[in-house]
Amino acid sequence: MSSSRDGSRGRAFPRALAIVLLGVGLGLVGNLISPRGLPLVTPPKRIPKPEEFISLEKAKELWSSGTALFLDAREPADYAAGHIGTALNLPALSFERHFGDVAPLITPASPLVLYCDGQECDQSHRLAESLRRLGYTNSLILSNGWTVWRQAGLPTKQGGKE
Amino acid sequence: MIRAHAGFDRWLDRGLRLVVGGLFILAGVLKILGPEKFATDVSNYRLVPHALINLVAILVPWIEVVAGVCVLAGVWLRAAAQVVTGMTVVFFFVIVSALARGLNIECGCFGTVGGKHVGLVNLAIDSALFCLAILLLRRTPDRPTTDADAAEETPSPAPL
Repeated sequence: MSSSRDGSRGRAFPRALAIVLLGVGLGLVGNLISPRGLPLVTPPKRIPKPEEFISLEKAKELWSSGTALFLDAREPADYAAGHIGTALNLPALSFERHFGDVAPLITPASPLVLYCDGQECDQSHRLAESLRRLGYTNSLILSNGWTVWRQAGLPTKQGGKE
Repeated sequence: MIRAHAGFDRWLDRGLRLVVGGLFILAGVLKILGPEKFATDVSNYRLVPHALINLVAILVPWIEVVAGVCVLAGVWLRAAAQVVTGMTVVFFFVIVSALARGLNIECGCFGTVGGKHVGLVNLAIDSALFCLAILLLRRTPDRPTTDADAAEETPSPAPL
């Protein structure tokens, strides 16, 4: 085996490490200068209390009677792919940008049902927090809302903003 | 015949670098453009301690991009191929872990695109990427791939 072959192989690992470290460095710098940069240490998660959740049956009643406004907390692309019929889209991850679209339709006392998708999805929780900070406290969360609504065969729609 | 074979080899290598490097760059950039969403996806897998979720979400995409650029450009190719291969192995076990626990979560594999839930399709895509990365690694020559590498290489003494 030639020494140049051994030499190349011997250098691969340090170079691999250098690639990873370069990525780490660029990541830290990029996060620092980005307007969407994240805190390096993840802030503690606020866990909603049980009374902040609503069952599917209760959510269905509110939807049928038109008593509550349903808000889809997911990203616009997910909302457009399918959402609870008549639900509006208010993405939790870009709340400030989209709240103006929904604000004229609600008051702080308006009953709201918030949902996203997935057992681990906390976008509806984040949306509830964002709304609460602005005084909209009359909201309930339908956990794993999109999946359970669909599986129950309840009305859905596709397409962008209502 | 030999020239045709060498030509095919060259195009195969370029094709591998384009696909593997390009996909890693794409995946990394999409995540960099949506850091909060990717942090949510990382959190959903419930594998990383909560305090470290943001750090993972910040660093992984940039490592993907740097490794992808190196693969595409043919710079430190063997090392970059090792990094992308290692990452596909890690992603494989992460996806398998989610499937085994029956988690109904988004993959987060390509940032905010698609919002597809993690499933066998994601496993298949990652496996295919792993195969391409391994092929790239095996085909990565020990001879220099760039002029910079050639300058570093010293000629070996002729065997006695």
